[in-house]
Amino acid sequence: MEYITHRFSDPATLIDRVHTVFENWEEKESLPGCLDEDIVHRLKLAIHEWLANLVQHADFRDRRPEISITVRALRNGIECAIEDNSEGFDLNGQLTAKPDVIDAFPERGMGLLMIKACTEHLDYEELTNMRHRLQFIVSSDRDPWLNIPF
Amino acid sequence: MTNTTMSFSIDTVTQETVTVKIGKALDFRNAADFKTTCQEQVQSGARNFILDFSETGILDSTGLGSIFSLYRQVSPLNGQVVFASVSRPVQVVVQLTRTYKVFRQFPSVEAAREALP
Repeated sequence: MEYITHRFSDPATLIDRVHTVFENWEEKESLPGCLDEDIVHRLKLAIHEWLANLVQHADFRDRRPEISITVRALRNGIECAIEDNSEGFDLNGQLTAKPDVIDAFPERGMGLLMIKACTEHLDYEELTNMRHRLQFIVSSDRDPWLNIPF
Repeated sequence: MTNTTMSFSIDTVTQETVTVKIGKALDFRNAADFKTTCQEQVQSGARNFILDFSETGILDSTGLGSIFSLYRQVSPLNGQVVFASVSRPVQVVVQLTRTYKVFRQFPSVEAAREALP
């Protein structure tokens, strides 16, 4: 499958627009039908959580926000890259600081852990052109779960 | 493009039990509205909440956190929070977080109504 890229610039409408893209993927069968439905939902969840992070916390300074999402189907999963021109986050530091076991019934702080749980080969890096890129794979190789004590 | 963060509709089943129709999304954009809506219901005497996810395509971590908040509110009052008509995207979050251990699930709102006091 070829790479599919979508670009966005308005954080206020970003989430609705991206979910409209998701609907189009399904209607136009852009993603291979052999992929398990749950893999696609985990992909959507990981993208949504990262975009929610961008909308709520990203600092674009005085730049016009530029956010792109690129996906490519693999044999048993989907590869995804999300690039933006914000100042970036200390994602690796936050994930290291967050214990895998979090408080019982937490109200906040689950988003990054959900992304981590849903994905493999999670990587976040600063690119050379004032951009940042989150990359990951969602695959059928595992049954992910997030350890929330009840 | 549709706005997925409309307000929540409430259906009173009994004095202590209400159904909350979640709609298309419960996420960081409307989680505060959900909490306010549920708090008003608790103040009016509701203890048991049936969350209708039949049309829900988005449940994110903040949305789930607002449900946890509701659970913490009604548990000391011997109340319950249950899920009904859980859509596949919501089921993926339920499985990921293992919240089926806490929130009973019913195939329909009617089945949940019959099971709750």
